[in-house]
Amino acid sequence: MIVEVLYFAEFKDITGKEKEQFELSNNQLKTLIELLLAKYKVPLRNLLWDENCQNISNLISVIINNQPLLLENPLLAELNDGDVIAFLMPVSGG
Amino acid sequence: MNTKNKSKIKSGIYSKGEIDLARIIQSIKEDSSIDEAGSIHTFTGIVRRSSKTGKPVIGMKIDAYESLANQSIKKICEKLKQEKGIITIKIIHLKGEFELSEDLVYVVVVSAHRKEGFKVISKAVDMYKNEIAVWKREDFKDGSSEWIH
Repeated sequence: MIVEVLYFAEFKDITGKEKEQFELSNNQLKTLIELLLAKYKVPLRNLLWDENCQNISNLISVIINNQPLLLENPLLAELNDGDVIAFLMPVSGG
Repeated sequence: MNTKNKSKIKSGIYSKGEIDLARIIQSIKEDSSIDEAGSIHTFTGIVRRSSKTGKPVIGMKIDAYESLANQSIKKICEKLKQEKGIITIKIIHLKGEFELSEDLVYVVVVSAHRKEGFKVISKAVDMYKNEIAVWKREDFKDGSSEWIH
């Protein structure tokens, strides 16, 4: 299945892209995150991952198809083909 | 958002240079509901020359998740329009690269009476700052930059 990731703010700086597609071998958000960390390594790990590298940092909001992911453990989220995913830092309007 | 050939300006995210406060006020004054109003309140957020910690700033970048931000802005406007005496509310946030003193955001509240407008424009500013998917990066005089959260 193919999903799309949108990048904003620091995520855009790290990846140098506004968006990117990934082909996943299963429907787990965890698999997508593993691909992202393998590609963008330490800078992305420092931003996305918590101190223990066990889960997504609690500063990050995960958005799937414009809706916030409300699971206690976001790594357990299941994705569908064509989903659009964004990882957001806390907002800061002008 | 594209403002061409549209007299009514919608709240939302716009690119720098696409819209200004005068155009928003003009659009509001062209609306048939304007004769119910007794006041138009405006807030304009601009680029300040120093950060919160006093570091010299030379510019700012604004990034936005447009579809999500537009969704949140719409909800804020719909909620605040329910308050007594509020006729229209517009929240326009710009995105792009900005120099010192350039406009970043406009909030416009049209109310029957001034007290209602003052109260709601303050609420609207607090709400957009905390709820819409927009991020600002301060660019400093020493060549560094930082996303603010």
